Amino acid sequence: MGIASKLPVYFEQVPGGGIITTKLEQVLNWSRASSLWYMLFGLACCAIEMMCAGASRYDFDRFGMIFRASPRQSDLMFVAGTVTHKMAPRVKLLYDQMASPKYVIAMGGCATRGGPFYYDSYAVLKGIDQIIPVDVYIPGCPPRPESLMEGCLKLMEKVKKEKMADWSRDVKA
Amino acid sequence: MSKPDTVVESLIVAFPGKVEKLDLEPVQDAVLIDASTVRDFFQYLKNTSEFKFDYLSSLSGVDAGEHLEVVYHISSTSSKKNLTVKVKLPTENPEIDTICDIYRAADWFEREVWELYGINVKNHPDLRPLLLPEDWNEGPPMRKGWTGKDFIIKPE
Repeated sequence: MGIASKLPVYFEQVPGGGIITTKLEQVLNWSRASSLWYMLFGLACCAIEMMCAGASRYDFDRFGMIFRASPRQSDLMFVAGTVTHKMAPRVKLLYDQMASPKYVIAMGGCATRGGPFYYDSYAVLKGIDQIIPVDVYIPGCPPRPESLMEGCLKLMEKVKKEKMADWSRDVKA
Repeated sequence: MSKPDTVVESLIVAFPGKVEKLDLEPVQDAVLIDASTVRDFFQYLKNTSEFKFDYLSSLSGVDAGEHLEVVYHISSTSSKKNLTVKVKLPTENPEIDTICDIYRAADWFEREVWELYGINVKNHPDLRPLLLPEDWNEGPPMRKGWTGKDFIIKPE
């Protein structure tokens, strides 16, 4: 059955063949989770690991994840690295330019909570969640591509559980 | 009088009373100069001095506690000499003359020293924040004892 075997489906036999019925919510969630295009956007050394994850050895294409060089076409933003106070408004702008539904993964210690710059730093934002909502946090300095992959799989699980009623959450905020 | 054979000696002769020798143990010649003579001094180093110091490789600020310092690292591509030039400034209203019309490389360095140490650079053509956010209004963050928004002091 190919694709249909992965969906919660109901078969009905009608004369001359079968038809598949399923829920719109589940079809959309499944297609969104299977094509999380992420923004070509890196801030520091975490970006090196992100590039590695996207390249042939770890190959995020397997999950339907590819780099998009524009926020307008991206579903997912990895905040890959240290966010300074000067960079923070730019990150927020990029997030605002993405089309909903959009997801954010805070990659590494810096994006999560300031990392090694938590103490005695005038320049670094103490966690990207102060300016944009975050779906998944990945610890590490920087996280290995396997960790990033695990984070993405967690995000896919989350996307698959979404309800139609929650789709407008960004509009409300 | 015999011709001075080292960089520092020739500078002390050229600027009597304004230049003194510093002993920075490991690396290179160093002088401490008076803040009022900065522009004349660097004009001399670049154009008149026989060593032709034509390359400014670094310009940095130091908060030494009781006073501030501006440190210039300067080299000569022809005579292969290096020189460290230090200027001492008071912590209250520190001011220094720009040298970015003499050495173009000083432009951004001076902006950095201005924003991070609060050292006013006189006659700089384009004094606006370089590394800090555009709307920064919490004072120079590299001064000792500085605290500000979102600044978490490491516990002992």
